[in-house]
Amino acid sequence: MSAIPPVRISALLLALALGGCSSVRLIDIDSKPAGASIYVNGEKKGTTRGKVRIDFKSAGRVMVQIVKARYKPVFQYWTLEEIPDEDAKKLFVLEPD
Amino acid sequence: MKTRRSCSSWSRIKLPLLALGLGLLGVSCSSVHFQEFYITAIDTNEKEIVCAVYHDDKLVLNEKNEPVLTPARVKIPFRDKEQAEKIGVRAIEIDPEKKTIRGLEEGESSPYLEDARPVYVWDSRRQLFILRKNKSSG
Repeated sequence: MSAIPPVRISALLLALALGGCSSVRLIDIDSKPAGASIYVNGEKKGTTRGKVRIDFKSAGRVMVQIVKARYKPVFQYWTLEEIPDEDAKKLFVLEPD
Repeated sequence: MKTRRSCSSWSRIKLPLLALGLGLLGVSCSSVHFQEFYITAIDTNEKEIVCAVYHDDKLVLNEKNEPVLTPARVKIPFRDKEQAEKIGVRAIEIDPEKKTIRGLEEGESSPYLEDARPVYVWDSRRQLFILRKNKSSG
């Protein structure tokens, strides 16, 4: 049985360490009704339902705003601690305006 | 004699030292950190709208003493980094010569509902306000 080279073990440990404390989240954002625009920190990132990549490294909290014509706009603040899973799901229920 | 001399030299440096201490205390207490935010506003149809900017419910003015209108970069003073500052916007209607005509005066109706939120120094530099139509506005 051949031994694993130390370089490979180091690389694996480094990857595990970096992956374990990643500040990036891929968040699946949905709304009821769908087809609303997603703004993250004031920048449009797509429409619901859609996956949005958010890096929490640069900001303490991230502001997510959801807007759709004839519905009341909504917003939430998210922090890295509030979204522990790297693949999270969020649903916004919109009220008619 | 020796004691008297040391006492007199102490009293000579006592006042400047006291003044220096008070000065340092004053500087540390009054240190204000300015953070620049880029403030924009849209309506629910995602159409950009022009708004006047408010800080702590007071209209933000530029160096010409005119209201700062969105989109705008506004420097907000933070007296305490742990404390939020209230930033708000109020939609206005402007004439072709860029003179405000409606929505700025107290009690004057605005075509959109105004909005405000607490902003911390570490929040995103880009602050987007999404305003709803003011249905009671003519």
